[in-house]
Amino acid sequence: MTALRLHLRTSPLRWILLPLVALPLAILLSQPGSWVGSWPETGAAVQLSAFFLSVVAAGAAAWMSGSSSRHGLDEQTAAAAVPAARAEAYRLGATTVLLLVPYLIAAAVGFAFTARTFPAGIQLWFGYVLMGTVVMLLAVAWGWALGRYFDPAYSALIALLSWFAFRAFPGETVDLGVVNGPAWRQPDTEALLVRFVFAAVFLAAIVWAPRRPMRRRPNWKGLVFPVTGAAAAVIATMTTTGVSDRHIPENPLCVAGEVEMCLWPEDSRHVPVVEALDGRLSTLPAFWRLPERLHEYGLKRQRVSRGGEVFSQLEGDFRIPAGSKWGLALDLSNAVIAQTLKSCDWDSIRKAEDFGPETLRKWLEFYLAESSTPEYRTSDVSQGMQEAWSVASAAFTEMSPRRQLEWTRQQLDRVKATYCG
Amino acid sequence: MGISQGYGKTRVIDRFDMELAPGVVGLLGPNGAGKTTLLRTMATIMPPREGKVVLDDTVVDGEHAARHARRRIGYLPQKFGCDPGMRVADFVRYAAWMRGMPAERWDSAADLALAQVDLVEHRRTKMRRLSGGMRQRAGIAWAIVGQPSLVLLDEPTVGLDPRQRLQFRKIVSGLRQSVVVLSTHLIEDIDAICDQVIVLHDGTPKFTGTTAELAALGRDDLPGDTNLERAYMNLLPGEEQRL
Repeated sequence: MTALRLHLRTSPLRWILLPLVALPLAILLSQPGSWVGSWPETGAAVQLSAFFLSVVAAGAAAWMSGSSSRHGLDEQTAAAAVPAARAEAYRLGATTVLLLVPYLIAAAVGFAFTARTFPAGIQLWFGYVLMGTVVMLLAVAWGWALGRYFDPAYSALIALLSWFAFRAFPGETVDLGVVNGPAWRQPDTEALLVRFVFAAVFLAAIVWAPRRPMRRRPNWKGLVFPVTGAAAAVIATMTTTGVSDRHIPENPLCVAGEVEMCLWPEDSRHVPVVEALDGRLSTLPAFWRLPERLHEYGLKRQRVSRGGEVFSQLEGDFRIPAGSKWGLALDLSNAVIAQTLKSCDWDSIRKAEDFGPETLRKWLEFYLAESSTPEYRTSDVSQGMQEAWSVASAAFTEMSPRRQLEWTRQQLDRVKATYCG
Repeated sequence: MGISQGYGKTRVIDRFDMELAPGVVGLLGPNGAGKTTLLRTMATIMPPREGKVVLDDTVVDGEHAARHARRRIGYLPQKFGCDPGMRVADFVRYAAWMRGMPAERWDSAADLALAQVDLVEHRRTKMRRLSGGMRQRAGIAWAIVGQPSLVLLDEPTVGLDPRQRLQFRKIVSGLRQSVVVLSTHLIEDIDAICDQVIVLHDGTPKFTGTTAELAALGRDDLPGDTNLERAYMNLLPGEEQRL
């Protein structure tokens, strides 16, 4: 039996290990299952578990930090041959392992779901798991530091609330966690490794810092070590980027059809929905002009100049949020309308507040999705737009398919005659 | 020169100089006599202000030497701590680890210590489920695991009923291969198990010798039911007024 195993066996945290495992699993499995089949989405899905688990971990670490004193072991520890720093390092190590294991179990469960299809991009899953690991380490370090110097009854609550506040506000601005993992973004592994190292430095600084003497007030000078460690971890976090845009892949996944649609290889699970909507595009009459090729968001770049600085901006023709056919149908309808009315004067259309093109686009969206009830919601829609959608909905639901196509041709002819030279 | 010890400007132990041989040494004295401070100094928790602790011919000088010495010192504070959810065997294994013993010896050392305190059957019982007497025996197992050459027990019989105290005496009597220093208020414990007695008052030893030698100091005109009690009163006249 090793010292770490002895500490794992005897840690009070083992009594709440089951709820600790259940919490991130419940959070992961209660999310819509759109993450299944995509490594970056699978890795990102478990970050929500890491968010809540890290809050619990900060409180639990603060509680565990004071457990030796709470159980009256200070005198026995002072009389031990094992140096106090080593004794604390083992307790902190066991605490870290027991709080990290539930997160890693949730990550492993996510892995098992997506591994069934084993798509491309597993390195992105590892990156996101590393991101959550850093969060968990920082939470444990934060909680332990508070518990070490303050009364355990307060420190656990303070650690829990302060970590939640940090994660909910500034923590999100520095990519400490993510809520989704689109294929065009990637966890910055180098930056995350830097964060990981500084989180470990923070943990080590806490253990090396002087302990609070028994029956005395806190040793404020002793705070220099953990505060320096915390500052280093915060600076490392603030000055690095957790996620960044990916380079365009050399071989995107292009689905041949009426319109060739190119996807990120990691989004291969979306091929069926792409093929289904491409099949609908192929049934449109010839007066609808179709683009030759469309790209998923991020597969195209545009050089943009802003404030004298030139940078590359992500571009794309469509997105498939959460695998939704409605998301794709909306973007495809826009692309087809743009192609069909390519030679039209859009400024004039806007000035005239003519919603004819929007009526046709909405009808096309319904046509591609084969339904008039979108699964998304809209807000702050203008009166004219609402009326246009109502007309499109009525046409789609009340007219026969043949009549609909005739109606769309008439509408297109009117728009073209008015705005397209 | 002996060791001196204190807190702030208060001197609690004043030039205590004594060589202890294997056997049970009773440390007797009123509250505030300095018994706990002396034990903590011997346990190397508090470096002495003056003088040095010597263990097995090695001077305990500095933190490194103290840590080395602690491998051979078993110390049970009066209010010893434990995780109530810990099993008895793990509690003693934990003590073995804190004593700096190699991992391969933890199990055998814990088994031996538990056998010595008659807790083998309760090795899987959680600490919170132990009775007061059993908990105290587990504490003694903590102190004696690895058979240290110096065992320091601070008021270990406080709160024990008569049957538990008899059991305790039996256990301590079996530890005579080590130097066992037993701090207590209870003269009957001293009478039953101690080979040597130190009567401490205001940080200085008022008496050092065998229990028979102490008993010989008892005078019939002093209060007390036994010669030892009368001798104690003889050595510490202030105690008579406190009765």
